Amino acid sequence: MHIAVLVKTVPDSEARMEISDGGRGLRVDEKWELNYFDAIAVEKAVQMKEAFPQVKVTAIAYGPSYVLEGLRKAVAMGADEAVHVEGGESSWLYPLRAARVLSQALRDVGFHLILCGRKATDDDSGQVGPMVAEFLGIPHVSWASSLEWDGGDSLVAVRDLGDHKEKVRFSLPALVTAHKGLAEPRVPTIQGTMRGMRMQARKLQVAEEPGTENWKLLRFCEPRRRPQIRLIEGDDPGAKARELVRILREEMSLL
Amino acid sequence: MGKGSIWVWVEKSDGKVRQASQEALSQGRSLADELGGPLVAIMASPLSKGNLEDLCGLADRVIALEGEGEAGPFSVVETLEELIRKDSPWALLAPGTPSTMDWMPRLSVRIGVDMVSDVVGMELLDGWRLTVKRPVHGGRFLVEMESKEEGPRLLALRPRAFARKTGSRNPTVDRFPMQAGRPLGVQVLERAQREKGFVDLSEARIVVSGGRGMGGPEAFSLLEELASLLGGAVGASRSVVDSGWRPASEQVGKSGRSVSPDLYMAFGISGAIHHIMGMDSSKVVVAVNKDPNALIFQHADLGIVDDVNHILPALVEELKRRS
Repeated sequence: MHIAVLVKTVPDSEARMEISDGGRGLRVDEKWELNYFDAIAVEKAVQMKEAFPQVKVTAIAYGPSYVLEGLRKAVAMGADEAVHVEGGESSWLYPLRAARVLSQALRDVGFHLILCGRKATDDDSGQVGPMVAEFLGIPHVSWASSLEWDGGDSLVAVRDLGDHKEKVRFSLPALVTAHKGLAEPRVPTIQGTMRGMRMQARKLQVAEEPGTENWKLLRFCEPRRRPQIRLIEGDDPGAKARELVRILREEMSLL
Repeated sequence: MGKGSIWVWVEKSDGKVRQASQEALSQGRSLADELGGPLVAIMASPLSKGNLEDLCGLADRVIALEGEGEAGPFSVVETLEELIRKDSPWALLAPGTPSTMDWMPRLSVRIGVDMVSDVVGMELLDGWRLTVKRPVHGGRFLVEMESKEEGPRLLALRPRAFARKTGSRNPTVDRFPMQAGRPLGVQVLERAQREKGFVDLSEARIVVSGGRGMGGPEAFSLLEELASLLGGAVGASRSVVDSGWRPASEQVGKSGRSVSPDLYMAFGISGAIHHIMGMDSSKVVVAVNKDPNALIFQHADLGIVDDVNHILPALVEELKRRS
């Protein structure tokens, strides 16, 4: 059983970011982290490996050299191997290109099961998982909050879709996108972290076709700023609550 | 049907057209009017009379997809691919729900055009250049993109980002067979609906969320009462979900859901960046926290510095008195 995990490296949520190049770019502090949902996917893969010794886990990342950060984390958590698909300067915003490149890499690396996060926290697109599955002609199961495997040919997953849950059975090869609840990413041990630091990622070249996208980037901009907060005063909680309801109802017509 | 036609994928739950689909229809109507083309609503059979009324007089034409069983993502992809190749619509809009995000990326690969998800703004320049806006980095920035001319534009719209409108059109109804889809071997074993009256977080007009400051899981019964009084949904912070006080499906934030309600009320939530990333696009934010320095106050329009366990009961009481 070979599990390939797709891992994206994203700016740390505390990282400073600002708009650059007159709106055409985003300058990011060199603080990176493994995308949260991908960390869940790595954790699940490593847990499956711990339960069944015949499982091998390969982490795959696509992008410039900073994506090694995410690969290191995956190895530190317990992935056996790391594959770095080089390139993709601006690919974080173009899921179709990333999916095309990753699916080619996956054909090279091989897999029975592919795991990845249901979305990345930088572009928030949530497209790459199902796209990779389509490129490879395999089924996908998205928003998995649970995944059970008894070592046989099929797996059972629960999808948590907000307004309902769905339990599905599927056979391999397949791709599963990880949602919260699937697994809780571990903090790597010191030995694991050392392994991550010493990691030698296998480099892979895949032909890209940048600029063929149907959308061109115009600019980045700041969201609307909220006006100064209005604090509601009152002698007691009851008075404050009454005033809040009055404002929401009479001034803002929200209730 | 011509090049200027706008298609909207209409989703139903419990046999009814969902609000997020009506928002997509409204935005589709504006685009169709500007382009001078028809608005086509695509939905799965069976079509009830109520379903047609729920299109709010916006669509010129309905394509009802007829087939056996339920429309899984693979048959939706197969069917839409065939329709698109036949009729080349100018754009296909869909509500940005988890189910849309299940088929639209695959369709994008099939027809070889990029899709844009989580669209929150749209503008047609010079009558034909489409620009869209979407949040990135959890809403810390917006990115604006312009479509090139080739191919249908595939857009998933963030629920609650576009206003609902009504019109007075009576659509013609055409039938089209739902394709079987490649047998991709995902078998649904069971489906558990949430209870009646459940309001989905991302579609809720009002979201009331609780954090650690609630003190414990019991306190959330008051939040549930408040949500039902307001017709809203209950949300939760990450630490509340991690502590097992609330289910993961209620989590708002970077690792949970992103919401843009008209009113977001944060009770006992400190306002860590993780949380802010999931709710900062809400129209009006109310924060209640006993710590006057809580970060949430920097992202709120209205604030009360007090213990949530005093404010919540008072709020529930006041709303009951007024109703």
